[in-house]
Amino acid sequence: MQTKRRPASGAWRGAIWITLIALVTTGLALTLQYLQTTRFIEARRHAAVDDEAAGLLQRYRTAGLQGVRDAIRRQQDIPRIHEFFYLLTTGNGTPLAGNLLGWPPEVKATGFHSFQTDVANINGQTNRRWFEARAVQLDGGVRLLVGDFADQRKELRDRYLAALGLSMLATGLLGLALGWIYSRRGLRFVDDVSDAGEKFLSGRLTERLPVSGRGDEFDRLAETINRCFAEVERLVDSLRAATDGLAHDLKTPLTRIRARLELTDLEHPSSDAQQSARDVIRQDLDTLLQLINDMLSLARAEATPAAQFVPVNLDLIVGDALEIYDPVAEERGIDLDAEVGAAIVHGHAALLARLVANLLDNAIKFSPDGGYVGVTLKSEPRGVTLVIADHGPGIAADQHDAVLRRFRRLDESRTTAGSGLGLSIVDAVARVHGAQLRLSNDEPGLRVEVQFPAQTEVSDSQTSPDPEEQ
Amino acid sequence: MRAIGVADHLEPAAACGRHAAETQPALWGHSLLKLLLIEDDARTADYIRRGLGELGHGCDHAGNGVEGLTAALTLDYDALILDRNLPQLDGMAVLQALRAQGRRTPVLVLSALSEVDDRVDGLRAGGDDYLAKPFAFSELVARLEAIVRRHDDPRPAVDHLTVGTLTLDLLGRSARRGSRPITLLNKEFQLLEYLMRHAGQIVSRTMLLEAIWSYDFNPGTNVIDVHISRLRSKIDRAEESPMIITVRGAGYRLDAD
Repeated sequence: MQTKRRPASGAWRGAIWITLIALVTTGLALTLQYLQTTRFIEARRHAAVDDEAAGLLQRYRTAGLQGVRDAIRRQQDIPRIHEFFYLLTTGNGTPLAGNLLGWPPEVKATGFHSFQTDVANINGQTNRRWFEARAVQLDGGVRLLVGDFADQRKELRDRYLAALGLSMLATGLLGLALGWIYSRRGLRFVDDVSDAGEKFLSGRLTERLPVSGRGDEFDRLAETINRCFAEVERLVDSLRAATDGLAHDLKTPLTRIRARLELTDLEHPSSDAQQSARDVIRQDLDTLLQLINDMLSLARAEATPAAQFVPVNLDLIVGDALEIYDPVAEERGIDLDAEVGAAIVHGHAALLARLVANLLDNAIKFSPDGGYVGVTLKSEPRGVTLVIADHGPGIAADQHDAVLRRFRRLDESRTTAGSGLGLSIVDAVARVHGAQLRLSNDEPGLRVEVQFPAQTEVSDSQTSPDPEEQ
Repeated sequence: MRAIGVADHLEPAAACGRHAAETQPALWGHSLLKLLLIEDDARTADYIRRGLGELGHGCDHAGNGVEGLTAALTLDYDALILDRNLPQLDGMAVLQALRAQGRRTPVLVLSALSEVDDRVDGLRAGGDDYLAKPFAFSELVARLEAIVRRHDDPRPAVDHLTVGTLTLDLLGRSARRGSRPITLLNKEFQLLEYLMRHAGQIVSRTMLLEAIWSYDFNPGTNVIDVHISRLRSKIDRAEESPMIITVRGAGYRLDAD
């Protein structure tokens, strides 16, 4: 019944947005953390290098160049947890002390330097490593370099990138999953509302939306919609009850009137004039009774629960109707043209018989003598279609809805027999069967198409009976 | 003892048979019946009793289910007319109690409920026929006579039916009037069979709709009249005396020629 559901594109869109926001937040947090950490670590390393350089400078002031050389040598001799690198050179670059082989070319002035340099290890391989050092100019062109490898910097960056990658991945997946679930819930709610609305409109007035009990906005909306549904149901029910009750209440006095009339006929046979007056009364009374019966039929048709439906051979029902109307059509010279293929629908046989008979009766009634009425019944994958078309005066397009309403007859002169409920009953029967009723102009005449839903769809909705139904 | 006490509440059948002598038995064509009407609406009951009385039938009346059931179990009736909605004991309960005690008295169920499902309920509970209110009095009588006859004389397993000079061969699916063969379409055959099985009785249009087409509603226009006039054109030739009689305001009757 419902249009084919798109593959939750809305849900993905929601999920992607949520994930993007989560990713940006995570990335920012991690980057800030990384920057803070590296700044802190570097500041400490700078401080350590500066402290070492300051210590040697102090030494230089008190013990001179020789003091510094001794100090450097001593530092190297004592095993320490953290080793600094030292180089003391003369003005022309000759090393005086230290564990560096040569002055790094990157250091051209005094001050603090941070640079990458190729470092040869014992095996003769060179590595490019971060090096940080303070250069100090001593008297007589002598230069002192105190430094430290800043390998943590690269390590830190690698770890940062690894952490960033991992957490981005985790956030991404989690975000998509959660986002999908949450967006899905919202969209499923929208779907639920659409489905419930469809069913409600097709006449299942007991249809309600599920309430999760979480008390969230969805629940509040569902409750509001359910209250609207309940209110419509209540109004329709009370209207039905009023119509039903009225019809029932009218039946008793009408039964009395009719019985009284017939009793009078029996007890007091009368003159022809009186008799014909009584006949007129009887005919009017019968019209009234027909109207009441039609009203009750309409109310019953609308209230027929789908639980009573069984597979019905619509072709046989149409065949019966054609057979019963055939002499009527023939008598008026109407060409009754039928093309009936085997067709099974899920429904209520008596109601369907009524639908077919009413449509056929209507088509013949409004056809001019010598006219044409076409009946086709086809079973296609999309469902069973019944078409009844006539070459009568037709109905103006803007009146097509109005004609399905109760007591609406376009032939306002009311010379044609009938209660005006015929098409309303057809509409009600179509509704309870989930069938679509379409009126169109056939140029000339009226074409009525009843499209029953495909079998599988119907039996699907049957296999999952709503506990609220009935 | 109790039965007598209850029977006192029943209005005597004799009262409604007052005009029996003045009726036209030919119209309704049947022996006089002893009937019990169980109906709570006093005025409807009064009209029905008086109407039946006009036709010479005897009719007792019970105003509620308990009285009705007691009377039905105590006295011997040809048929019961049972309203569905009754005070004290619902019509369906009366019917079930009656059948549970082995009473096979034919029952015509009356009801303001008219849809097919109610009808099925009524028949399933053991009713012989079902009539929706408001009904034509002639319809009531036609159906009453039909169920009584069916009860007295269950549809015989015959291979042909004969009414006057009209013969219907049920096996050979053919019909003859005197020596003249009649060609009938399938539904015409069924229609004629129904009329012949109810020969001399009035059958209403709704009885025909139910029996031949299983329609529980009036399909509008004058479909039955058209079918009957077709059948009549085959059965009754101009020079022959008419067998299919139209009974004004009631239906049709097939009479022997």
